[in-house]
Amino acid sequence: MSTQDPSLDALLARGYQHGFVTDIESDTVAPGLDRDTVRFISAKKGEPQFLLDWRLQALDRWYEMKEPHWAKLQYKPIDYQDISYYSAPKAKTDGPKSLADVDPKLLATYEKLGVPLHERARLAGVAVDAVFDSVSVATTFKDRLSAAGVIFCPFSEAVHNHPELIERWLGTVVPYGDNYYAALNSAVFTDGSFVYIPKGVRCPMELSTYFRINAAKTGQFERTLIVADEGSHVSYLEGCTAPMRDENQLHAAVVELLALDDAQIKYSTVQNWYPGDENGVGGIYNFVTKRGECRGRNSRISWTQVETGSAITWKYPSCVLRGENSVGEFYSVAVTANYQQADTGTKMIHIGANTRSTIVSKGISAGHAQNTYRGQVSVMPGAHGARNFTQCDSLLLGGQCGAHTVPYIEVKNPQATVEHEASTSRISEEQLFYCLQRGLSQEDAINLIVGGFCKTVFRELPMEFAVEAQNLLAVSLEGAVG
Amino acid sequence: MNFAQRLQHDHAAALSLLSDAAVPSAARHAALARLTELGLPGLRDDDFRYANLRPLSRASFAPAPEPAELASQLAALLPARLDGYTRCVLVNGRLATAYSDSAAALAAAGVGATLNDSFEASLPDIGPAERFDLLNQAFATDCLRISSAGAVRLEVLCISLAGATDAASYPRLQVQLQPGADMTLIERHLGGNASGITVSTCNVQLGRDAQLQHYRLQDLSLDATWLDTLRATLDANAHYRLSLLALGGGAARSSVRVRLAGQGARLMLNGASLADGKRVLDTVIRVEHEGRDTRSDQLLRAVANEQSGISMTSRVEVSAVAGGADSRQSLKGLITAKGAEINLRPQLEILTDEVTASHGATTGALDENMLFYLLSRGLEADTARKLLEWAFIADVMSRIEMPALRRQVEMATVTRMGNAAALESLL
Repeated sequence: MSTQDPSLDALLARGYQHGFVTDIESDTVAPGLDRDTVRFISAKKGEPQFLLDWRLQALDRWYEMKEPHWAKLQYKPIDYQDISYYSAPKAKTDGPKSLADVDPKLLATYEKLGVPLHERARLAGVAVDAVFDSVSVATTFKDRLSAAGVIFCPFSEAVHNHPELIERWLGTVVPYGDNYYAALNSAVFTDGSFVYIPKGVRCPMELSTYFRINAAKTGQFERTLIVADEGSHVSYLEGCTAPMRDENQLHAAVVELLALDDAQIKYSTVQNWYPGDENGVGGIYNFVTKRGECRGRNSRISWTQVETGSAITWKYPSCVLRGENSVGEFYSVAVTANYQQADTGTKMIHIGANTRSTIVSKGISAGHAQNTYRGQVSVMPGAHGARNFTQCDSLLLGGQCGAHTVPYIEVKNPQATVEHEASTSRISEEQLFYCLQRGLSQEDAINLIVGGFCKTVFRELPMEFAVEAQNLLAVSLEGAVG
Repeated sequence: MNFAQRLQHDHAAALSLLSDAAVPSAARHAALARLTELGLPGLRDDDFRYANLRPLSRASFAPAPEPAELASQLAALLPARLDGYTRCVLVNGRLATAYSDSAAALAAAGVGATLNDSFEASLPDIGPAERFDLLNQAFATDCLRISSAGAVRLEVLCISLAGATDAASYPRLQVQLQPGADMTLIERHLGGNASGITVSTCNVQLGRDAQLQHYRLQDLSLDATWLDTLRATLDANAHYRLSLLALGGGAARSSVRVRLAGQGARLMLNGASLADGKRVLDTVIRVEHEGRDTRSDQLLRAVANEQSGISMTSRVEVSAVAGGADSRQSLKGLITAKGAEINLRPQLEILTDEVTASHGATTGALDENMLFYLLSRGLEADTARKLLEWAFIADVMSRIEMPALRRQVEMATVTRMGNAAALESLL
């Protein structure tokens, strides 16, 4: 396949930087999903009865549901019985008590990925929870965080150490019957991160979870729950990679955020799952449910995402703005190349008075890729004075890709103001000419223009991720001329 | 009886009223079969997400009979004549020759002409969103075919009158403009107190370099149900200027689908919907850019009063071979009361990079500063509000190029807005 544009071909042939496989002995359950699978996972984690019951209810609900196909995505049917729902590196003991107990191969894996698990070698200010296939293998800075009252630990650990918090908050933002993939996740999730920020605490460092799929024929189903109590503040970063394989692997995660009065949660993602090769073979199917609820007055939830990976992305980080004066934000850059398909966007549901939301979405599509922004802004009858501003722009690189914009604007309050604007175009020849005339190379010119296109999103990212995002974008667009 | 059973029952009962001249029998049966297969849209059907289709759950689809007495009912409904326009009147979907211009005048305007064979094949497909076209095909009692190669000015009045029975009317228009033709077509759907269902269809084919200025005004009774479908195809360099004004109807749904098939084809679409009470007006527009260097420009406005709901979906699709396409959409909604609702969906589906596409959509309340300004100039509060509502749709009205028609539409609009006397004096 050739686009007859050598620089665009260079983009399409770009290498995936994190496609290696770690050769480590794993404990993997046979493929298949039924109630016994759920009981197995729950028993493996030593979970209390309430969680097993919850999982089984989710599975029953999932059986009743149909896989949704309304998104603008085309992919081979998923055989949910051909997936292994649990895989974990074999541990010599019940679990690592410290970094010294972690298998050196795992530590080497994260070193290779650039994830700072060695506390002494870290850059300032990031605590990391590393999730490898179905389990968390290491969490850094737990002591320093607990001194501030912050709970940051693997989900399975939180179930044991803080069952009352899990029982109270789990599924309150994304109930197990929310949608097909959320129900599946609720039944079989294996690990993830749990964060609780107590009243009035500003989390002393950035929190980060790094997800890695390693084993073949498995899916990853992690669950993240972040609760920010009154007056608290937390910034959370999420990264992910997977090996290069010809098979498609399923990732169906759920993220629940809950912000109480005056609390703030900033959730940033750089999604770099394996996108498949230049012919669209392999890659991760990424079906993710992310939702935050601003339950308290003056609360704020901000989603920032840079989506460069996955063969299929189905993801709509949302905000339910229930508390008076609460604020929801969504900043997104979605890059698709080769045969990648992304159907992503957000929902802003205004329920409380004087709630405000901002949506900035930038889609870049190259090769044969399809990139869809799908967004909903709903203003309920009680949301007096609600305001929304949405801007979604699409950039097309090449004549065979697609960019689609599907907004839903639903307003039921006469005092609300909703503004939406969108544009779709290729790189302006005038801009390119201007840059070339100033002596920039074509690649530098494109990077500059695309960087400017994405600037409003990148500036919302924490410093550590902003650098990674810029680099990812630069690699993605190397030599790409529209 | 369920929907399919009612369709079959009503169709069988109405066979004597359904002529092959209107729609060939085979086409009727095919339409009926397809509609039965598609069924009534459900709550989860995204194409009908905001439409009020409840009246269909109990409606009879049998075509309304010809009213025994027309004169007194029509007198109040027929608008003043427009100079230079040939008039054609359909009553309950049938040509009313007594109220239309002479057969010779109609023939001179191309009414009753035979359409080229290419007509049906050129039209956009009937998708799920346009399924009520199938209902019209199955039950249409007449079909007004118009074909012109020259310059024509034509006014078509589709009148729905209350009959003795609960029944529907099926106005059906087919318009074919030959290459280079130039037509102004005024299509009005009027209904007085008729509260039944009107299922209208208008199909349009514009040949190369043809121009059509098409005004569609829906001013049916406030408890009528209007299910409307417009499908159009434009050949190279054809220019289609389409105005959609929805003022009446308790539950109205209009599906518009336009193919810009030829190179350089252009669509300029202006639309305004006004609703009050508990009325629900839903407009779904789909524009398909298929030829090179095609252009579409849409301007849509909605004003929702009281407990009403107005929805506007505008979807622009640019195919992979439609390089040089240029598309603009502007959708604005105004909510004036608690309980009212506006839903806007400006959508883009772009499959080529050689394109410029943009859209803007806003929803909000009346500007308090503007209101204060008018109040400070001595206007009554209600008049000031109505004037601002009027200003909100003024850019759509201003695109009605014929002064006489614009005045008629303005008067119809202010009548619907209430406080007509005060507004009239200010306009």
